[in-house]
Amino acid sequence: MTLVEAFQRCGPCIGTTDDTFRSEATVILYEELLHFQVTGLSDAVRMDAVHTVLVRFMSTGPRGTNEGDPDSEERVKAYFRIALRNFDRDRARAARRFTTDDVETLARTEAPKEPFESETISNARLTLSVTCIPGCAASLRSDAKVNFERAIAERQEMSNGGTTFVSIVERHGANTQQTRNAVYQQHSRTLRRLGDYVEQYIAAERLDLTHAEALRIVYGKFCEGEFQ
Amino acid sequence: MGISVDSLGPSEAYPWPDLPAGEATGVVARVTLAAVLSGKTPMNPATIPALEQIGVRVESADRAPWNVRLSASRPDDLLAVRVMSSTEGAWLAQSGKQDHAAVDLRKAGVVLISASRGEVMVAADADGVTFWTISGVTVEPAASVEAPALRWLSECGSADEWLRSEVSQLLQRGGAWANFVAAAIVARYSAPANTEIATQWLEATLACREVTVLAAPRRWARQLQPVQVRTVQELACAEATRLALVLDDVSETAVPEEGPWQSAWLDVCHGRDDLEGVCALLREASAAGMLQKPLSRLDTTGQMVRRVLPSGFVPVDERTRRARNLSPDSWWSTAE
Repeated sequence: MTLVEAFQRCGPCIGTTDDTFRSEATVILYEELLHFQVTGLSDAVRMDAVHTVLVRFMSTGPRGTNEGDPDSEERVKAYFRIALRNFDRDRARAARRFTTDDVETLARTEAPKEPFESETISNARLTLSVTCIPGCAASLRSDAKVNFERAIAERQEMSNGGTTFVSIVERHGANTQQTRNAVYQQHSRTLRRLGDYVEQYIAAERLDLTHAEALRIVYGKFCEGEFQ
Repeated sequence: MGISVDSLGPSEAYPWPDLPAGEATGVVARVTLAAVLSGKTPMNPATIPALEQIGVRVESADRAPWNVRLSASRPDDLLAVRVMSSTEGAWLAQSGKQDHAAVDLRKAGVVLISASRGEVMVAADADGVTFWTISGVTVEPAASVEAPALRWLSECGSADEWLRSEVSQLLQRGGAWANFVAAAIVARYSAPANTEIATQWLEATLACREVTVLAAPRRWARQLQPVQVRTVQELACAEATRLALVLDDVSETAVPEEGPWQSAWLDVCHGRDDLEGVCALLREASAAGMLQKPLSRLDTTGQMVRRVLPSGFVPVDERTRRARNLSPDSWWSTAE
């Protein structure tokens, strides 16, 4: 049984013939997790973390094969890295009630690693900016296109660190809650439109799982922004 | 009548009795529809398989299905009779009572009978009366689903008050969906109380042994009747559609300040998390396949909406926090 198959089959035993597969899958994941290196996870809590994370995973399984689920060893490992990090963060947060530990510093010790080659991500960035954004704009009526292009330009400024959301709001009027909400809604509609276009593009071009996921990640990064 | 010939299923035909001879031998009764409807006239149970299949009971005053009283097989089931001819006295229904009707099938000509499990078209001509099952869209009545979810929690000595409260609320709400979700939540959220018990659960699974509280809801799901499974599948698809609509509302109304969009967002997150548990149980019944596409569409939209929500205003509650522990890669779970 491969790691991906174990991910799909791991689940609690229920007294049927499926139990053998579920148990075997749990053994495979357990052995993998025992050899896991997660930055910031101390040896003192390591076993508790592995046991808790695996029991949580096992008790919600078997997951079966779902669209978007990890389809490679690397992505299965990435899934469990996140789960282990979440466990550690929660443990530290609970401990903060009694100590002065800076949990957020601890939580930042290891940024989530994208399970893709940097070249795949670069290509996805290019696809977003050269194909999807102009393609989406071209599909809109002229008035909607103007709003879309302006909002995209503002988002690009924000993501390049060239400006803040408040500065953009001030271009549209006084920095009131009403103006902030109006600008936010223009941006969120634009990003939704772009997101729909990205999904259509993925379907139309029949991108494989890796390239589709990379494009979604790049789109997700483009959406990130502070609206305070 | 707007019914395509293609949608007509197999037919059953019954010839009219020879009138004068029939009356003389009592094969044909001289009755009024009012008497038929009242139930005071002696009636004979009639076996018309097409109507039985859709949940309609037939009693006939005659040996042939002629002057008939139609009623729903079960008290609360639906029965609608639509008579196409405008002939007076062709049918009669009691005002305010929709589960009974008296029909003179010979006078009525063409009749459409709708019930909870489908529709039958009836057409009379000079020779007799024919019943056709209409294939196509039929709505199966929802099966009832009862889940002993609180018992499972008690049997395993669960001290998780949050879980018990969630399950109690669902069971109190009642109905097939809430009851199934209650079972799904027990399956999904039963967690070891501490790391020692987590180790015991893990060791049991590694040794191919059961953990009672995890096994009970799954075994229960496996023994559901096919009609119960179909009911849950249909309700799950309907829930996925509802959540997609709420997501659109959230996307349209979310602004960087507190507001009603936040409770709508939590509603979506809880609903999607319910579906995750429901899918796990349906998988035990080998019945989760039909949910893959609706959930995939919902998740694509959910991820997209989640990305554009104003950070710092996305609400968190116990459910979304716990969901993050179980599904760290999900869009509907949140960190504090």
